[in-house]
Amino acid sequence: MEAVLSGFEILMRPEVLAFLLVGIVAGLVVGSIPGLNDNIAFAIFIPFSFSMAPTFALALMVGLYCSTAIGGSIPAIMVKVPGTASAIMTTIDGNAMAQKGMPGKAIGIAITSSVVGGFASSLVLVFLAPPLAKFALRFGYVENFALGLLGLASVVGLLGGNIFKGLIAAAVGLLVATVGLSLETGFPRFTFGVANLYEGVPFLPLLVGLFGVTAVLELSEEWVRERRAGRRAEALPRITDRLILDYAMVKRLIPTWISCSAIGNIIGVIPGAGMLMAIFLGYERTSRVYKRKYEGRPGEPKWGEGAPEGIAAPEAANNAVVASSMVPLLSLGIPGNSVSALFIAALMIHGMMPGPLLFIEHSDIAWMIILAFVLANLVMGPIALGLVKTLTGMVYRLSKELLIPTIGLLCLSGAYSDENAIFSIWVALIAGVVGYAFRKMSIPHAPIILALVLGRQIEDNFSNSLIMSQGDWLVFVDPVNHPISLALVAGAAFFMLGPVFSWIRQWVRKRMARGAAEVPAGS
Amino acid sequence: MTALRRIDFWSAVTFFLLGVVVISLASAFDEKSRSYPLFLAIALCVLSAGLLVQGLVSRSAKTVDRDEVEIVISGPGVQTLLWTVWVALLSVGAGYLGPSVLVVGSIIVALRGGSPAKSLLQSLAIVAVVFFMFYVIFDIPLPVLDIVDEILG
Repeated sequence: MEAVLSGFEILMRPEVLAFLLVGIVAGLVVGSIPGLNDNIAFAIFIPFSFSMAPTFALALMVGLYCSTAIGGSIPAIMVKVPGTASAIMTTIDGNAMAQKGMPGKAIGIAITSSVVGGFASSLVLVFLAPPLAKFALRFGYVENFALGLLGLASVVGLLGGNIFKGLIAAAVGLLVATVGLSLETGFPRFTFGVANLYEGVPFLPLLVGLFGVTAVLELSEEWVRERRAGRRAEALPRITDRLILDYAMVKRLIPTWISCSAIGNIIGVIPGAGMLMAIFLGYERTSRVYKRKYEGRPGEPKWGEGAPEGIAAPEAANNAVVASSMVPLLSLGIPGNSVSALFIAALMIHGMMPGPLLFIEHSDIAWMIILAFVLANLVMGPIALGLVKTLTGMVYRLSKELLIPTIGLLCLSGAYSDENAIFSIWVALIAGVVGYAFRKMSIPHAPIILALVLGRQIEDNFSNSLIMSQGDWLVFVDPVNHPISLALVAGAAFFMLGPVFSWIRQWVRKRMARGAAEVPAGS
Repeated sequence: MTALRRIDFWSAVTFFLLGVVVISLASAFDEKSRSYPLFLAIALCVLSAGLLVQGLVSRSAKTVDRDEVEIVISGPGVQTLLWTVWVALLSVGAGYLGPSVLVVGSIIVALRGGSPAKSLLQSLAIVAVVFFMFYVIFDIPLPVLDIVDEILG
């Protein structure tokens, strides 16, 4: 209780509150600019946090993380261009409603749903992270290795798509993490005589490159594509209707908020599952309920043509992922998604390591972060409603030809601030180019990031486990001495085999369908 | 020959070669330090081989076309080149402000075309804001020329 109060006291300091508010406003602005997202915002802001007190930097990042998704819904509704990937499903019903002359109502639903989802998620963080961290304190080398394995497997398995590419990404990330002096013998590995690499590839420039510089290259590609296609900006619809929801609408949306917040929270807690999965699951479930309950009634639009639930479902689900994705990060040291991986960098800059020890060594900071999520979710609604008209104007006012070099200069100068070394800029630039090449190859970034974060821990725990067990590889699946490790390894196997089973199921279905089609032809 | 136009084919070849290079480098490490990277490099080779087979069999694999290559070269390619010039200038001690104004201005011209004078002014404004944030507000010692350092104290 003392730690909670201490965290609350830190959060209530005027400067910390000011940084939280700055983060919320910055997140709304960044989110409302198509092409920019929370990853890029973090890549730009993290280097600044060097010279800030940790409490200021973390408050800023919490605000930023919470509000970016709301910002993303504004251009999605107004011009059918999602500001962030999390607003992808909001474009459908949100823009349809705006086209029918109700952009204010659509934005009101999006903001209120985001606040409800985000608040539910922050409560999950309050009640789940501390006990999970307490439980994780029992973990030894064996369990920690299995935990790292589970984190990586869940990211690779849940990404969907090509399993080979997910695994290749993880392997590349783990290999990059081996650069530097060997943990066991001190032998320099893949350093090529460069002293800057003895402690490994600098983490912050690597992240800035993978997120920020890659984004700069993608934005420039998009810019060239748009110029070639000769696309021009369309006129923005004007907000003339009410933004605040009436009682009947609130009452109607409560079941959608509850179900989608629950989906978002469950998905958020699982490392690697990601926001998009929560959005699709929430949207799909709500569409079935809507079609059964409302479609065909007088005055009710068809699903996808301006249904209020079509906006509420994805928005509640995406914000419900935000704080809950911090549960595995704060309690176990495993990032729930790529943004929370950037949180690790922010904590590490200030000498803090996320995981169970954070609640012992820096319990006040851990609680400050948790309570900041609660507060950010409470205040971001009114701020977003107040700023919405400014933000909608911003969608087209900012020109990409100025945005691209500005982000590039901010990211690369930020990479320099890591060790005040030009070597760090080279690392960021190379990481950015490699990250862009990976995007072109459809190699996912999430497993690389997680592998970079967990790589050294995995190797360290793996070798220590084998030393302690005198080389016995079965130590990780020992049901008597290490039942937790066994459960975690089984979980990892489940995640890895999931896509394989899904592929087999699809293959069998296709075969059966083909067989059924051939029977009448033959008979 | 269609296989040679598939992105997955070239990705698989690249990662396989990377795995081979890592194996050869890791083989020179001492016994305790090499086992883990060797295991990862072998896994990378095996996975790349899997991706190669999958890329050859799959009918829906993405292919490279000329238009796409042109877009990548004229957008991200030019960006990469200009930022590389910027870091190279910083590395040789050309200071922060000059190279930044030059490169940011060049990027604006490359993206938009039009008047170089307007681009230069916009570039000056962008560099001034970024420099002020890092150097003045956050006290990060950017690699400026001695004369700039003296002027700014």
